[in-house]
Amino acid sequence: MEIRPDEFLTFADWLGPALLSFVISVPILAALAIFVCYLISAARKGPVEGFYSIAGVIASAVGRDLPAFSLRRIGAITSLTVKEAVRRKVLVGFVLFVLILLFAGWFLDVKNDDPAHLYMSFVLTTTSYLTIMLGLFLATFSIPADIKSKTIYTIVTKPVRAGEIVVGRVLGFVAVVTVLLAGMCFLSYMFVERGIRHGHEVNAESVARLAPLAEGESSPGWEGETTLQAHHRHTFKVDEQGEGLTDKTMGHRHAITRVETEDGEVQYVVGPAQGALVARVPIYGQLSFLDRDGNPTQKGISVGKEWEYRSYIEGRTLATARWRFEGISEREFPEYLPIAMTLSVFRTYMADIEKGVRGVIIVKGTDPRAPIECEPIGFESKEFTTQQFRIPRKLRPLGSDGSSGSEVDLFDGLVHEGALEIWIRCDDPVQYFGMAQSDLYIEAPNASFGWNFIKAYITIWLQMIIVVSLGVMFSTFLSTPVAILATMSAILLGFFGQFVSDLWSGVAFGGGPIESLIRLVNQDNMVVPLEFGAGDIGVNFVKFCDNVLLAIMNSMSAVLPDFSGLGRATEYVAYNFNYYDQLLARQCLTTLIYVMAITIIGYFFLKTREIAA
Amino acid sequence: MTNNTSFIRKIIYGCAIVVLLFPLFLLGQPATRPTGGVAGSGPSSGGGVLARMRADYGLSQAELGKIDPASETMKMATLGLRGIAANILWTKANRYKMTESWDRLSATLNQIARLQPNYSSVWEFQAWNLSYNVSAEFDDYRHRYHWVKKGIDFLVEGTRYNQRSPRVFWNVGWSVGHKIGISDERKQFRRMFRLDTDFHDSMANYVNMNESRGPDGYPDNWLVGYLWYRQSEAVVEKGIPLSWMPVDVNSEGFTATRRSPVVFYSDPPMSLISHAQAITEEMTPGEKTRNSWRRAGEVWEQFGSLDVATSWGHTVRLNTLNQFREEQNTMREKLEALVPGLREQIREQRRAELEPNERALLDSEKNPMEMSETEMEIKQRAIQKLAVSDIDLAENLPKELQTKGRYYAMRASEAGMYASHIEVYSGTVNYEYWATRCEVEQSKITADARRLMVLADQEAEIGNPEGARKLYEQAWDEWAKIFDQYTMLVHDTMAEDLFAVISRYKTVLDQLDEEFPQDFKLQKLIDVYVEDNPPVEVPPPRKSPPASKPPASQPATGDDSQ
Repeated sequence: MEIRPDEFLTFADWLGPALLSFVISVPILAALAIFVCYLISAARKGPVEGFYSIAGVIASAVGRDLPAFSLRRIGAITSLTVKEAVRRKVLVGFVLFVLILLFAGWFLDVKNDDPAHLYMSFVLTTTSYLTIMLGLFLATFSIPADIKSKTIYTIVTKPVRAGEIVVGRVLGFVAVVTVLLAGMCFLSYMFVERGIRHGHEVNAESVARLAPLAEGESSPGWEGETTLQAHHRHTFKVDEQGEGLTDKTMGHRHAITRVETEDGEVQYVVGPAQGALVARVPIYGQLSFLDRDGNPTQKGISVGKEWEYRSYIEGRTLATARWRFEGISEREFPEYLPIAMTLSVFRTYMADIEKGVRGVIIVKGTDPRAPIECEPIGFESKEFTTQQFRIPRKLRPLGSDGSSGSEVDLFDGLVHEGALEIWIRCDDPVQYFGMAQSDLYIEAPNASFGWNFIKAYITIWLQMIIVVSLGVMFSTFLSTPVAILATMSAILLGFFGQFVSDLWSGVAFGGGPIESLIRLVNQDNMVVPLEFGAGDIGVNFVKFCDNVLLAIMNSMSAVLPDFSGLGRATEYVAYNFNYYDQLLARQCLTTLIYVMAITIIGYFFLKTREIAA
Repeated sequence: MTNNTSFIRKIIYGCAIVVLLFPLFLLGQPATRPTGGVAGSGPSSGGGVLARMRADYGLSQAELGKIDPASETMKMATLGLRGIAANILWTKANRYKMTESWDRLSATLNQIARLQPNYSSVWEFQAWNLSYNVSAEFDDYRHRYHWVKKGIDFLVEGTRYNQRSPRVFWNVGWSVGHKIGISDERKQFRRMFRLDTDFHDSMANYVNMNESRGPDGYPDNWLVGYLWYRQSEAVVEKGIPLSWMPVDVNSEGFTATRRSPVVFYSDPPMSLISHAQAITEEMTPGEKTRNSWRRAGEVWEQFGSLDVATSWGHTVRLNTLNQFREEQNTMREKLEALVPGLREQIREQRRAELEPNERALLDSEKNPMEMSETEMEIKQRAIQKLAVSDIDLAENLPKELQTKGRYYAMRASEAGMYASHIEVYSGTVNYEYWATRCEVEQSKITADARRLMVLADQEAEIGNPEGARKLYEQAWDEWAKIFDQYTMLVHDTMAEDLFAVISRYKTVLDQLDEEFPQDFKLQKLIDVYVEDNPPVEVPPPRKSPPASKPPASQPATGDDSQ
């Protein structure tokens, strides 16, 4: 799974810069907003009257509305909003979700190599889109409908303040969608769990004795294969005690037990699928490289792949990938250090294809006074497969002359102040290993899958809260269709902010909105120079306009919430990785800030509108 | 009054709806399949205009019972924006391929196929993507095989929706045959395919897998490919044109090129030849391999008997080349026999009429490479003037023989024309070579020669160079006889394979401290091979990089998870 660089940051590492940026940007944005409002007000009422008007609104907000903020009144509006949402048949969204789940089997690739991944991606994405749409429509229809039907006048004649209306509306819609989301979460879990639940039997004809490991020894057990179920079958090995495991196919294994009954009959009991629904907890290290001459370098080399996520080290040279892990403790890993890695392989010649490319794992001590390098542990690569290794407690260090020294303890001799380095080298000449920072990690004990699944739903919930807030905010001063459009634009910019930024910086091809429209009509691809009837002047004009539009879009996407970042939890859960609590905390804090800001903006808009009314 | 108007308006609307239902019914009525069990004895209907058009254009969901609900729902769910949805999915598929998200790629391709099930290029392109591009991304050949199979499965699924597309069936044959049988991993792929009972079971829904069993009793990929090619031929025989990739767009729509029929029909017998080649490499040659070659030869001969359409407007049969050449020669001989020596007389007469400079150049022994362009032109003109065609000969016969002469000349010319046309088409598929190869390989002498080489290799491997040398030399005796009889094989890949064995023979001689024989029986083969494959200048080796320290332990046995 691709991990974004900022996701390696801890909450504390992230908070400092984030807080700084918040402290700088909020006063600037606030001042800018006040200035724009003043300009509008001045245009309508004249400079002095306009100033007093804006000052009056701010004074009223701070002096009157804020101290008189009433939770009871908010509660009342929330309760009304819930009733209104229920009256508007909000449950239809839930029914739609159930219908989608019922017929999902038609559209999903049942022969997929990792069905659990596919099912989880499906349910989480569907839920996310549905709740966003639900939140969007609920929120944008409410206040304009009140204004149109004039019920808003009934409300404002009561001692209810604009801020309370906005907050009440947001809370009401959030409450309704939260209940729906909880139901969806439960059904999704059942769907995924049921989707991968299956059983096998053992194909009795396939069972055979394993060949002895050495001449004169007895057979170490049995091997065979299971029946074909759910579009796959497994091979298995069972030891002399009758216990064994199947191979990993379609992302899971089964435990298998050989039972011999009293009358000599042999039965094999195949357990349920294991490993399809887990929450692995990786401890990532910091990756750096040594080049082929052993000099430190930022990255490995490129082998010409379009996707530059991984960089490569050359075999049988001093090129090395080095991971430095911090915070490793004996208490956490008392017996051994479990590591997992997924390396990419690039062969410049075929060699023996029955064998993988060879590599070595070198455990390095981090004590600068006595750096110890241990004997390399050999392995054969298995691309696109997570290989798991156990680094033993007792390791043999390598002397400077290449001889082995006496054994040292992993924690006593190598780990220094909680830090340890693991190096990877490729051992076959002119072959390459490719890696990214997340490709090698220490495996902490698995977390609860159920809680991980819920965390993904919490991020969907956060998305929904932002959408509802945006919808309510826009609906305070726009008509319903325009508010929908505005909210949709904000969501789209939130989802594709990176793309807009890439377009703006020239990384992505195709140009801005006008250029891409021309290309669509002309059926030009994205990389040919832009040409149309108006000649160079026309092209330059289009590019100028696009630059202005992209600059605006880029600035807006920088301010808007990052929806794609919130959706990352789906990736983590689908790939069976634990979504870090720290990441979740970051998302929660960010959402809270956004919701507060959006609500304040909504309050001012409604208040100005009320004044105008 | 108002109520009355409203009522009348409603009646009019109702009537209009009822009237409009009729054309709607005529247009949209779905076809129904015959009921009453498998035999389908019950009533059936071709459906409305749209259903009939769907049937005419081979869109397989024309009948209610055949509709794929998932595909139809997806098409409907896009609300007419199917093209845009497909575009988005293609972009996603490209992105997933780039970021190596293989399971997502596979899921996306399924969605694309459901959106555009009757667009055969989708199935072909994406199946190729899976079998050839994605599979090559994997380092482990087992994973590669898995993705090759995925591509083939995808195409097989495509045949269900494109029953009238010979190219989808043909592509299955190609992928099963060539991707499994010719790739670098063919040894492993063919082994895995033979034992892949689940794959055989899924294929058995479409082809008779019992017919695909090789001499070892297991299904062979080349033979399965052969069966799929035959299915493709069956589609063509129903009257579907062999349209292949569209190359041009005109006002009437796509102008499709036609796949060359001779190449199309050569694929099934070539599949059998490839099967015979493969088992000859894998098994000790004997009766079983000879039988495979015999069958391949028979089917190749049948292919030669097919009437193949040509661009000249007539058909040709590839196995009639010799017949036409013989007829041409016979007619010429008869023509010459009418007045013996007449052709030479005419030539002498014409020679006498040549311009002096033409005659001088014709007699000159000057190297053509040293001649000027004008001189070359003059010489060519002179040669043309001296050329006496059969018709010329017939025209110069005495009057009483001219009718007969013209008849012979015309027959010779016609036979010559057909022979040259056959040669053009025959050359495209190397017909003569493969016919000869099948003939040679099914002979006992070739099987014996090959078996001797295998035995010699085995002796060499167990460290008995003396025994190996004897066996090799017995094999060379047999091969010499074969190459004397079939000289065309000297320039062939068969000879290249032999060259590798000769190298091993040389190694054995080195072990025995003996010189390579001066009078080696296949020296001609070596000479031709060296002439055809001049040595390539090898760049000097790079400085060897410093080796990392050797691993202390045996490869660690990690617990693997995909």
